[in-house]
Amino acid sequence: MFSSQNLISIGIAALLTAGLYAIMSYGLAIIYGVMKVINLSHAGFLMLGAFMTLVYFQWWHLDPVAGAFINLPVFFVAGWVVYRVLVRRVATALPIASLLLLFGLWLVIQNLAVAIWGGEDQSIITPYTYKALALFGFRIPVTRLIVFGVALAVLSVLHFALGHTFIGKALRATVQDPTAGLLVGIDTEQISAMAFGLGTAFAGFAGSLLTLLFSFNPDFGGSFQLKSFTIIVLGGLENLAGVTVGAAVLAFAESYAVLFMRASLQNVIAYALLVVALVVMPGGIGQFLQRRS
Amino acid sequence: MKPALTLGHVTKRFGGLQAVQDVSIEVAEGHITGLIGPNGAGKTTLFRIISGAMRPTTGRVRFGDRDITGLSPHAVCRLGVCLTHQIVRPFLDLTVLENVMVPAAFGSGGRIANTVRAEALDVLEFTGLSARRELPASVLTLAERKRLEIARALATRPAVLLLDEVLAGLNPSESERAVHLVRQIRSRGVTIVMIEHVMRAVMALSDRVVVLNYGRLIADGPPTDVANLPQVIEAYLGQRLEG
Amino acid sequence: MPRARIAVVPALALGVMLALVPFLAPRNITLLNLGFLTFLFVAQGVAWNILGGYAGYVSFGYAAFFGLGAYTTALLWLGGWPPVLTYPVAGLVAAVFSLVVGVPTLRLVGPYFSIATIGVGEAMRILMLNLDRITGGASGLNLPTSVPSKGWFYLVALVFAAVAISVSAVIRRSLFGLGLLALRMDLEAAEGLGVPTALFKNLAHTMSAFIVGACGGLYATYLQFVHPDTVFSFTQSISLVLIALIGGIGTVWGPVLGAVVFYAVQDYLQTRYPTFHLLVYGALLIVILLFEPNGLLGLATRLRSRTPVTPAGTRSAGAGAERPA
Repeated sequence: MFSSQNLISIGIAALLTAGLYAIMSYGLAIIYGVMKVINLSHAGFLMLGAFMTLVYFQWWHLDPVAGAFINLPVFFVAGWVVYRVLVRRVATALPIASLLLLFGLWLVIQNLAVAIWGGEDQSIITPYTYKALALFGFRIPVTRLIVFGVALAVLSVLHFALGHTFIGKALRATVQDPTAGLLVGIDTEQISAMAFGLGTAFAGFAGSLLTLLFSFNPDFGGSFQLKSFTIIVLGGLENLAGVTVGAAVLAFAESYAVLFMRASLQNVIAYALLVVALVVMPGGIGQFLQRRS
Repeated sequence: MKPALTLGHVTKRFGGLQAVQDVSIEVAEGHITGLIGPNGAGKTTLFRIISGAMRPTTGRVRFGDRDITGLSPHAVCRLGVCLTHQIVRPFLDLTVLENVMVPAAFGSGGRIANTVRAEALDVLEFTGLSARRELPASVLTLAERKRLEIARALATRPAVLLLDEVLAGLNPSESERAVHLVRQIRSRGVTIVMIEHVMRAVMALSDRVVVLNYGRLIADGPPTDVANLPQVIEAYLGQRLEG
Repeated sequence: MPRARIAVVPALALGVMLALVPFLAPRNITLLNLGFLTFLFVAQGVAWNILGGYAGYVSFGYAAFFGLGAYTTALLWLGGWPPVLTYPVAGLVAAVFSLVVGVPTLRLVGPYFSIATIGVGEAMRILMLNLDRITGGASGLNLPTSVPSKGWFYLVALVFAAVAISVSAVIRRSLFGLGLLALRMDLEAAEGLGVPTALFKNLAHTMSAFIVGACGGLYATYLQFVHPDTVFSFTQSISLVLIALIGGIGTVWGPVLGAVVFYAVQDYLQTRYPTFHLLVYGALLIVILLFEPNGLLGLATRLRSRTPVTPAGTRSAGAGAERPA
């Protein structure tokens, strides 16, 4: 079980998972970073992203990856609307109000999904779902490679956009200091709406990618959402770049933990890490290690 | 006379920034000590360190004989050192009376339930807020909120009261009233340290003035002496232009 | 004292009337079941509110206490204990657990505490599913068939509810309660005025966990079956949040009203539209937060005195003090 072959194989799987985790958590990170809002409807949009992909697949035979890119604008609009109609109204209230509001939204979305699609598991089977590639002596499922590749590509574009476009810089500025942002003429209303839209867009996008790897039902999303929280806390709550760090830490911790515990207990790692991270290292792993040194 | 409060080489660093550098002060019992200095000099930070809301990076805070460095705020309060906030923070959904009952119940010394209300009413009387006692704190004017802030601190029966800019934002008549209140508090035997920007008031009230600039102590003495020191004038007005 | 006024005489009268039901209609099983489940929700909602409403720490993880209580009773009962003796032990186990998780997590500020509780709740459920040698895991635990009558359960649940309400009322009028309200409104200011905030938060947490744990134990004997996915479920946890919010968070009687409405809605929906209850709760939550954060009681108070709406929780999503109209 502890052979180097096995260990490397696990490592590769962890790396691929990290890519997925990063793209899945980015939406949450953007919304939190810009608006300091904890988006508990993230799970709902992940799930909806998956189901919309199912619809595209069933009606137009669209590949889930294509579905993911279609979801980007669709969910962006949805997020924008949610912000304007709901979130904005509790913007001045205590943070717990927006948390509960979005939680309510999650419940509604979940139930709508049940009403439309029923509660059973669904999956999307493509011609390449069961294929694997032999790379360096390891068999890697094609789907995992695709998800990783797409995630990596999109994250790179995102990184570039954040650093080099006006909107990207405005977003990062607001994350660092909303008041200063206001003072230099950034319209925080617009930026918040944009952030919520982007965050939701990425949730939908990630949801599509998830269909390549998992089967899904309306309850789907909850555990991914909690893992996303773990990831952004590990990465440092106001640190967009930290998301990749957090994703890697969680992916590797989960993957290697299976060597020591039952697979069914795997999610407990994320939940335990979440609580530990919140209590012990609220500034993220980076800050924690820095303070120790 | 034994000092009520002693700060020994207190330093506070935030990452690379030195907010407070090697400050040592002895606060005389029963006196009013003014703490002045330009904005950002570290005055409120010093208050927060004394009250326990923040730990100093190095240095110690003593209350009488007792080392109170690093104690939690509620423990410091119970020992007899209480802080008012620069930006007032009333419990908005509680009435004025309830606002004062909280510290009356939990401040220094234990209390039996039936004296808490009486104590609170007493303090309200002293600070002139009795008429407003059944109103929610949210409807008070700024001047009243400032008085409520002081009332709450007084209800903890402090030996040392840290007043952070109690005169800020008050018009002349409200200011006068506040100054009078501070004098009355002192006459009850409470040691007062006050951060203030209203120079006239500080100089008139204080027995002694301590000046902070960029986190360092630059002067310590009677108000008239300190006001004329070149380094103090420089701190506020900037360096003299040559020629 | 904070001006929470409980009309003691009407409450007692109501209690007595409710207590008579099993004697007047001993064979109306539906009614007795309805009563039992409603009272159980009342007790739990009122208990949750001590931490969630008074202190303002919204926990999404109370199912952990319910579940621990249920399993404690189940295991002790299987071990030969009379059920009634197991209930305080169930409460105690839940209370101890609440200290273990509470001390670290209550140091977190509002929303982060809430997130942490989701994690704890879910972790407990998965752990219990996996400890199959003790808990029976995914097949659950079946419990012995010698059980008291439905009327007995109804009355015991009524007692639990009455106890919970009394505890909540006493706290609300006490200095402890005042301290909780103060720390909810401004933690730092309260701390600076001498309120031992960490101690009070944990005390509130532990007391409410005890009550919820005991309820879990009672439920286990009623159902005669425990399974991690029911007693440790996230739905169980959010029910308590909903109950308090619907009725009026931070008040004594709010969660009582909320529990009645909640259970009535659940019962109605389960028979007519079984898949829609989450939708209704979610929509209710949204409407409440947008328009009346103080729940039904808040709405009633506002209508009676015709004051304008406080924008959703600008001061506190759930004003602590009940104002006499």
